[in-house]
Amino acid sequence: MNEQLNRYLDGEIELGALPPELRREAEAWDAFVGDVRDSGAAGAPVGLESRIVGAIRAETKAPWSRVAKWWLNPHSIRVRPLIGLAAAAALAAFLLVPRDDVTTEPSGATTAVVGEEAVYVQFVLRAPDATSVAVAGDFNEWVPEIALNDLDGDGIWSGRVRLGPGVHKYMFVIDGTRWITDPYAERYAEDGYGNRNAVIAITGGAGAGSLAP
Amino acid sequence: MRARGPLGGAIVSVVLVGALWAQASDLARVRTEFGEAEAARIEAVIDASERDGLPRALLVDKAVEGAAKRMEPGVVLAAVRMLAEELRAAARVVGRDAGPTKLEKTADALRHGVDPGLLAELNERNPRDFAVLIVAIEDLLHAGVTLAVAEDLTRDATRRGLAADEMLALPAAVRRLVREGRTPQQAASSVQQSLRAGQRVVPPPPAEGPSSFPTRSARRIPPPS
Repeated sequence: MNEQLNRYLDGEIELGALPPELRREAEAWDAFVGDVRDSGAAGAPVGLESRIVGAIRAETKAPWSRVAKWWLNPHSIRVRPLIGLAAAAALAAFLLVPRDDVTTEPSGATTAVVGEEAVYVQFVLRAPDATSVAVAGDFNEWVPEIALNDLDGDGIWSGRVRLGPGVHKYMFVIDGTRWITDPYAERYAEDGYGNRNAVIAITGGAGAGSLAP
Repeated sequence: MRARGPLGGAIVSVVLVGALWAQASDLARVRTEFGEAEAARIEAVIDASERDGLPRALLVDKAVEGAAKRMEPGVVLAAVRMLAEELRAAARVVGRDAGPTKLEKTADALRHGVDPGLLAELNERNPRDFAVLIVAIEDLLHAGVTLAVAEDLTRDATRRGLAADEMLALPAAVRRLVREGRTPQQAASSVQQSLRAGQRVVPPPPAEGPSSFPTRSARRIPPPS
């Protein structure tokens, strides 16, 4: 039986809360219950109770049913505080240790909000003479491995990178060796090495202004 | 540290080894690039800064950036030292418990010459959006507004309790007025007057010009250099 219909028959929700397609069925059930009540039935038919109890027992004897029940029901787990703390710290260390499998190759819209945490940023550079262009920044430990593409050979290289909220610095790397600043960045920051990094700010969520750490 | 049972001991060991491995590996690239001796000098500066409460990640990033850009080890060492000093100065303004983003933006602001007293006030009034306030100041400066005027406008707006998005609308409004022919100082003055009159500063629509955080695809492709 439909769960909403079941809840209605149990008196948990009103008829108006049901979708229109279920209301007719609910009304039919109401009519049926009314007819039974009007017929003056004093109780359940003889033997019904024993059949129901028997069916329940037969069901609970199945092994798979006990396994499913164990997984579905809540359990209390007792853990020593020290071990629990250590386990939590281990999990945190595992999550915080930098790994190489950071996702950087999205597809789809030019700039799309993913949940409320990250956006895909499209980087574009015109470099007709380049044989390869990559973008490197503090979001990928400055490794020039996020390659931009120039599929139609018109000298315009582009690619998308998934960035989390915050202020990010980056540069383009042409032919694997030549680091250049994005000429059309909105803002820049001195890199401490005699050049300027381009700076891009990603706000959390769709337009939320906070860049707080 | 004392753990009961083999499971606890194993977990604690994993935690300790993991932490040590993470710390040792964050400069692995610098070691590969510069060798153990030069990397050790850089790491000594980073370790000392970390003991002072500065965020290790920012300094490691600066070292890694230098290695990636094929800078000389001495240049990288100097850059890391300079950043550490800037972060120390920033920590004196906003506190050592400030997060990396806040410290970095404070350092940026100090580099631009922003008054430390103003920075402390902005941080006190709106700590959550502090980085946005700094971005607003930087955008005002980028729009051609003088430092004194940018400081005054930001202070005024913060005291009036403008939200982060409204703060970012200030430089956008200034740029719009500049495009209409006013000087940056006139534009900033006009925006400030609107603010004092209680009017809401409305940012220009996206199609009209660049917002503070524009969609990059909306930009024109630069001409060949």
